[in-house]
Amino acid sequence: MAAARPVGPGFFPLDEELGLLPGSLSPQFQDHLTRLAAWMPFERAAEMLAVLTGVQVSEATTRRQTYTAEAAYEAVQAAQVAAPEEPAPPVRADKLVLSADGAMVPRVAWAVGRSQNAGHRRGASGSGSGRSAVYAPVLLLAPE
Amino acid sequence: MTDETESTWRTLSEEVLSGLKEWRQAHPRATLREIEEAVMERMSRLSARMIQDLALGSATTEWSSQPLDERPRCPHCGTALQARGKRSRHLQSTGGHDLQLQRSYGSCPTCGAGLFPPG
Repeated sequence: MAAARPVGPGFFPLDEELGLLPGSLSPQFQDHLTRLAAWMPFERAAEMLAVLTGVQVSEATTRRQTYTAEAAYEAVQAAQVAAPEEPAPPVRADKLVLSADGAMVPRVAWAVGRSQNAGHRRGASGSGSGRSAVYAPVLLLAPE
Repeated sequence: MTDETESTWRTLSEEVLSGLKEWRQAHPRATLREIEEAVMERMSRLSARMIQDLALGSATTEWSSQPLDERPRCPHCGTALQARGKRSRHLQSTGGHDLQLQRSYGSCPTCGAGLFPPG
């Protein structure tokens, strides 16, 4: 049996050219809405968009458009993962420079015990402030 | 950009300027926040109109009268599209103002992509 002919609402070449997305917002405000909805509940994101830009959308629209953007982003990521990776050009170096460095990471006192495997403590944990610090040695390698 | 568009922009710009002058005279003790809101409200109306007109200033807005070899192509089989009329789309833009985009649409005469379902 032959496949059915594809049907749809027609082609809108201008929409393609302008990069329009489905929905009732211009691309800039769809972007704003999606970013807000990534940080807060959909209803709050819709409220914030209205306060900041004057653009009004419902909670349902916010949810739908955020999920659509999420799916599109996942598709982009999947395509990037599936794409054959180009081999990195070989690094040619006569010398290799080694450098030791460290980072001070402030931690609250109760968490220090768990973090001691990652580095060694520098200084005593101040019982007054309840804070201490972890000194994490880092080895940096760079071809010269 | 057509002369008509340019004339519309000029008129709208003058309305914004005169409107703001009048508003300031009516609100001599306005706070900076109120001034910002008054300016942004009027400017966003002008911005939305400019965005709409610039978007519609493309040859792709109305392609039905173009020769076949210059028309947009079917994304599936590459045949020149057959025009099926015009449709409007409304989008919210700056300040919540409406953009109205009336543009040609079409379908593919070879593979049928983009045709409305029968019935």
